[in-house]
Amino acid sequence: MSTKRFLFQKILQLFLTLFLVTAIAFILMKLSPIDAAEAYARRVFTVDNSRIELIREEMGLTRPLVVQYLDWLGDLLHFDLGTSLVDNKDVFLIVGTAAKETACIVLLATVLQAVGALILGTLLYLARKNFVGKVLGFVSIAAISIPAFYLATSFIDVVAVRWNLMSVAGNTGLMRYLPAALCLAVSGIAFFGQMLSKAIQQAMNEDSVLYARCRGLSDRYIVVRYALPQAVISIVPTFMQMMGMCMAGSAIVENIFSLPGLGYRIVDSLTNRDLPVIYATVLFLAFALVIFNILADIIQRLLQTRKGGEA
Amino acid sequence: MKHLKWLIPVFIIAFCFLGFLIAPNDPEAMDIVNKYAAPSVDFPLGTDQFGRCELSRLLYGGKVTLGIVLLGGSIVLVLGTLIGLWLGRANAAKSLAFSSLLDAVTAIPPLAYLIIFVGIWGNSIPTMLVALTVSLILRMIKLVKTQTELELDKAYVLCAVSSGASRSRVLFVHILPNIIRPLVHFLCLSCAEMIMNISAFSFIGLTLGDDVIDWGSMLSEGRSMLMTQPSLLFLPILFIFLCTLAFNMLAKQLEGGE
Repeated sequence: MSTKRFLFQKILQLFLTLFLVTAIAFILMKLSPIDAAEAYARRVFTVDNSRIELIREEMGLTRPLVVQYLDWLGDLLHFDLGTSLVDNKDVFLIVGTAAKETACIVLLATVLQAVGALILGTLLYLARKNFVGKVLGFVSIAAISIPAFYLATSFIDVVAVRWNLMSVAGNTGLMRYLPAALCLAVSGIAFFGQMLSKAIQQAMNEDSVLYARCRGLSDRYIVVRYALPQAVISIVPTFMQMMGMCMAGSAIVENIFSLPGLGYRIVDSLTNRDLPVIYATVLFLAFALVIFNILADIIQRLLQTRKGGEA
Repeated sequence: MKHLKWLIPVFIIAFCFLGFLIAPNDPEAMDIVNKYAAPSVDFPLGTDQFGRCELSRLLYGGKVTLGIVLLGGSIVLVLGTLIGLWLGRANAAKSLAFSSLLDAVTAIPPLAYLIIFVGIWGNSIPTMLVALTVSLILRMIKLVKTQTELELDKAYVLCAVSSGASRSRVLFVHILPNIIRPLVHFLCLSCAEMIMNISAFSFIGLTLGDDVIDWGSMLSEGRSMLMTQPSLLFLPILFIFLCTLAFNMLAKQLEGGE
């Protein structure tokens, strides 16, 4: 299959998947016992059954499901996700602002993960035979096992409150997202560090490395100059997938640091039974995951053809 | 030494799951007069803010958390493998539409499934079990399907088919043993993730039910006493950490032998 055809197929698949995500999200939401009309009525008026019926009629909830779905899908294509049941604000704006917060956290966490994993992975490989490496290896398994929410709470309780080193509220700019991103990144650094050190090990078994050794280059030079770039390329696709997962994973951390990101919005709108917002947030997270997954597929493919072309 | 690397994690998991059998006290029995008691013979790890035995609560919490994880994990392994193998073999499953559908259902984050299921049935242990199982099983099916498709192209499958092996024999006798290792590896990592998710959700308020003892809710209760009774926060986290570590170590062992 040519690369062009592959790309075309992937893009087709992207749209098909996105379409299916909207359908599944719609079905799941219709299964939910939250009655949009009732939730709205309870908030605005004194409850009265005939009134709820009236609102239901008004919101178009009495029409057949397929019509409701197509109608909603049409609105979605116009970036119209309806208004919040709580304060009548435009849902697209609410989710957009929340997405920006989450994107900042995830982006910062990604940078931290990339830098951290590079350093940890190289160290893990270089020190793999001595005591330091064994300890480091254990520490990185342990780091994956610490829940992000615990890191977040102890960050607040210890670093911010007890030691008073930095405040976790009211910061602006980078500092606003740094604590959350740090807590989110720890397990990723440990995970990708281990993966990278394995990949370096694999790369060091290749013929090109043997040749480099024959040229009399030092092992450390070979690792940094030859094996590391190759190893990095091999974990890039998984790294991309991880970015998508991070979008959902930051939900817990956001709740603890009270950053109004997507995860914070979900829990908040769930307690308010704010159906359009729940709907839009879930949809957005799913979209992000799908896009990152497909990007990972494409990058993997491109890297493979590049490798094949060189050989 | 080699066996030790397997035995320690298995022992930790078994102890946390079955430890409630040797719990010294009733985890629900309150004794307000005796609150925040220091460790003693009767209460090996002291008591919490209502004078309940901390050790017993931790052990019963393990029964709930690990019960969900182990039950969910077994369901995922068995059903996920069966469906995945079948899909990997079926021609219809190779179509673009089908793989898009699988991508779509796996793209919805576990948190979203949990929120939706909590919305439908309210918070309870079965809800948590179903939500975690559903989101995991879909990823498992995807993994098994991809692995099976990769194996189907290999020469030994052709040999098996040409020597007259039936479809199910090829799948279960020839392919399954070859792909079981990455599957169990994935399962161990997922179990570690499940423990963290269960605790995290009940920590932020999506609990397992009002009077269910679990590590996440013990943690959120203990948090307010951090300054005066740090052990009420550190003990549950220690148990969560140990169990997650145990599953991650098992995964590491499975990975190393590949």
